[in-house]
Amino acid sequence: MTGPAGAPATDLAVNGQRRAVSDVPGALLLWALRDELGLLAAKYGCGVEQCGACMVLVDGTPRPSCRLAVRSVAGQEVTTLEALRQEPEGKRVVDALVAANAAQCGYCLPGIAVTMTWLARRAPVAWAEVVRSLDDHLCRCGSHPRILRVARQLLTDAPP
Amino acid sequence: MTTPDGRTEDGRVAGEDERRRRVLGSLVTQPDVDRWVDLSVPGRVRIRTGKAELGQGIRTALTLLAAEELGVDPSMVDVVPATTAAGPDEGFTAGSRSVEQSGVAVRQACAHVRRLLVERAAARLVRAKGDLVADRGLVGGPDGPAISYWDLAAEGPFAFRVQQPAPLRAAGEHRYVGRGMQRVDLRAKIGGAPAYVADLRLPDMRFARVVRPPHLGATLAGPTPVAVGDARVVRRGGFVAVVADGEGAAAAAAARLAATLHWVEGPPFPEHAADPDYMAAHVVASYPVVHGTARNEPPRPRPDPGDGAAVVVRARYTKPFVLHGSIGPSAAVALADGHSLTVWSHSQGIGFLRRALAPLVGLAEDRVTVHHLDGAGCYGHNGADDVALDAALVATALPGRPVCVRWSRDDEHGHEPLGAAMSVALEAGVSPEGRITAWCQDITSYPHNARPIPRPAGTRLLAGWSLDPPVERSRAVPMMDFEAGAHRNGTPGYDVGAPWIVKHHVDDGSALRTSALRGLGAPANVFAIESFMEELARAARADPVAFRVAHLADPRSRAVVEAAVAMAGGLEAPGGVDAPGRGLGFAQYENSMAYVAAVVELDVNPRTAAVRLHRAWIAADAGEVIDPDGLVNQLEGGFVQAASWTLLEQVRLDARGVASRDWESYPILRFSQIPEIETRLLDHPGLPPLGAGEASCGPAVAAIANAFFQHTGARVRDLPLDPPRVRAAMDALLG
Repeated sequence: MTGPAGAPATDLAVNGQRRAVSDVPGALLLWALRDELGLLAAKYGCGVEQCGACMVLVDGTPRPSCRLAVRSVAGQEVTTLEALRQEPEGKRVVDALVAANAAQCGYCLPGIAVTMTWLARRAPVAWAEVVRSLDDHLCRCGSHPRILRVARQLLTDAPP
Repeated sequence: MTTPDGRTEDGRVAGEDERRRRVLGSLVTQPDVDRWVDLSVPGRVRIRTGKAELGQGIRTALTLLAAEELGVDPSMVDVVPATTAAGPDEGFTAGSRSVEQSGVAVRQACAHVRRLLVERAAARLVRAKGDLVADRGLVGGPDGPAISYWDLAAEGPFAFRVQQPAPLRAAGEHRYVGRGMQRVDLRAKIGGAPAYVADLRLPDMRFARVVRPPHLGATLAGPTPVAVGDARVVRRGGFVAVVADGEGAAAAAAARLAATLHWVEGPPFPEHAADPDYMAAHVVASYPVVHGTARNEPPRPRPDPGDGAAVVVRARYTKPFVLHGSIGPSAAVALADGHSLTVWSHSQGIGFLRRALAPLVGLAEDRVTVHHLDGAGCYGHNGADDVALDAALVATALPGRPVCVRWSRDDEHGHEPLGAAMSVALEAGVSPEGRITAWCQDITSYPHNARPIPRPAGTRLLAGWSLDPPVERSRAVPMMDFEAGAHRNGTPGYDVGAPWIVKHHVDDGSALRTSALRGLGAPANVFAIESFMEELARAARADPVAFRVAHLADPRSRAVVEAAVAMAGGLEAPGGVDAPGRGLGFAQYENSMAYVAAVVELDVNPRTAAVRLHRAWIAADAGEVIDPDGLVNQLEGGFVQAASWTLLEQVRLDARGVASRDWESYPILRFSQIPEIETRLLDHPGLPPLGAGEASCGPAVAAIANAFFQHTGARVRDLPLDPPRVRAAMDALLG
């Protein structure tokens, strides 16, 4: 199919809506979200799936969006923090991180909130899995201790 | 070194009376209260600051201070982002000075405004000033009418220049200061709402990526196409960018274009630049450091630490080049119309950036406006200023269209100014009575400040060096001020008589670029001094804590050291022969700001030789605490970042430049490597607040090195303490 300007397009399911995004060769999900759909919660950090700033859910599972071809997620459900923060688990995660001032610059947090929401949907989860999942994310300000504290309260029933 | 407006490069006021600076902050150079406090919007208190929100929470601290002094709810306070178009110029947001300079100024400005509001109300109500109180937005007496702040402000500007401090609200009456609050900017940031420069969207906006030389010092040869697909190519000499409708399209076009360009390699890059012998061979100037200040004069004769000493110890400590490593690469938005230029930037010094940009785009300085917008944490001079020039150059080629330029991860790792490699050589003796006899310290370092400040010639903005004709690179010059550059915390905070300290400025003339990174020389100096104090204590068969305390004259220094050790329950971890190691690190930042002591507990994974941090205890005295939660966040964040430097980080160089171009080749600490951290603040209400944003870094590095020694018996003097070095240190013990 084609988009408005005649460019090739792909239909994506993003945050519960069908959205047409351009599908030129090499088109990547992160840029479709940011450039075409105006969804800015997923951040560009490294472009090579090493930092987690661009995390989204694809069919309910955290995936970095920066190297994910648009074409490869056609027919799958893409969920960004814009939608997650409206639902109970995502709102709980964001509220808890905000209440704990669990950030400094905050740039890595939207991606971390996506992963934590995924974990919250299955809570309680084993602490080892929480930490393993957070290890997909880099933070440079050193907000880890606070993020870990929030994660422990929210995601696991292990004693602190 | 001071800038033309009499400021040091980290924004302090040179030559000012210390007391005035401490009580008035940036009001010393920007005394007009109308610049700081704006009551023109009914019901709102707008605070203007020259300091940038870098993630340190300055907006929140200023909100607390304004709310406290004006007696309004913090929700009524708006801290307006810094802009060159209005508000105070406070130099760089650097050196842990945001609260000391802007916080103190806002607090005083608001205290004066409260006083001025009472004066206006007294005139209108025909009451004595002493009968009136300004609180909760109203000025009135215990009986009778009251007038709102905003009615009173509508009479016109206060036109008052602060020369003397106004009385502040008494500590016992504080409603907000010292209690803290939720960070005002975090709901948007954590929740993923647009909050950063790269999230700015303007009508008709375009996105660009720069195609940087693949190697430092390489130059572009041959033609470039006018377009790559739909993306337009903008070229100015050796500066090449591609412009597209979206950032993804620009990134894709940049990759395609990069593959077609021809670059001429520059001179070989100094791949051994971090080697202490290489550094020693490229020292271009040496200066004695006296009372914390570098002097342009020959050093006095070096004392002999052997005089009167029972034992003499010598050691050399090194740290490699490290990256700022912002998680979000640098970005800027620019809009030009042929007559003027507007830039949105996460620069730490928008006033300096404006001055540096103007000549490069052929405009008078007053035709350039720079607005600060938040970026990812920068921790010093990263690519923020450079990308602002990139954006200005592209925008100049597209008049009337806003352009967002963002660096790629590869650009950021490969082209950001590096944190300087350093080498610190120490020699000291200990008398039979256990006193240090003499202290000699040679600090050898690349520059810590290549920020884009105005120079007689040349530029420090990256793209300027590639223009046609190129603008000469203005090389960094030694910082001479109190506790600046390589000699920050280069003077031991211990009672060691008159230490002999010389700093050696390294410049090899190569394409290598180093600049300010959190703490400048302090982390390396504190690592060296605190490791060396333990080496001295050991040589003198003294307890390392008691040896330190015996040489600490300042009771506030002793208090944080003793507090951190007490929090940990001592420096001996339970567990017998298999016990983890514990170590202490202490420094008063810049020997004049916050006091921090840290104790770390760690062990070594016998299989991987990785150091595992278990726990850390931090005790800090930052004077009066404005925002306790924000302070703890900065101290713990500084600890974690410094732990990452210590255990993992070093920039790999090769003959063509920086070889660490992503997070695989330049690993940083991850969640699974973070220790439990406990922090205690020793609050001193009524004393001046002391900058603390960088204060925990040096103590953290030192505490880790000392704990490693206690655990293994191996003294590692070269950072990082990564598995190869741990293995080598352990092998050396056995062999």
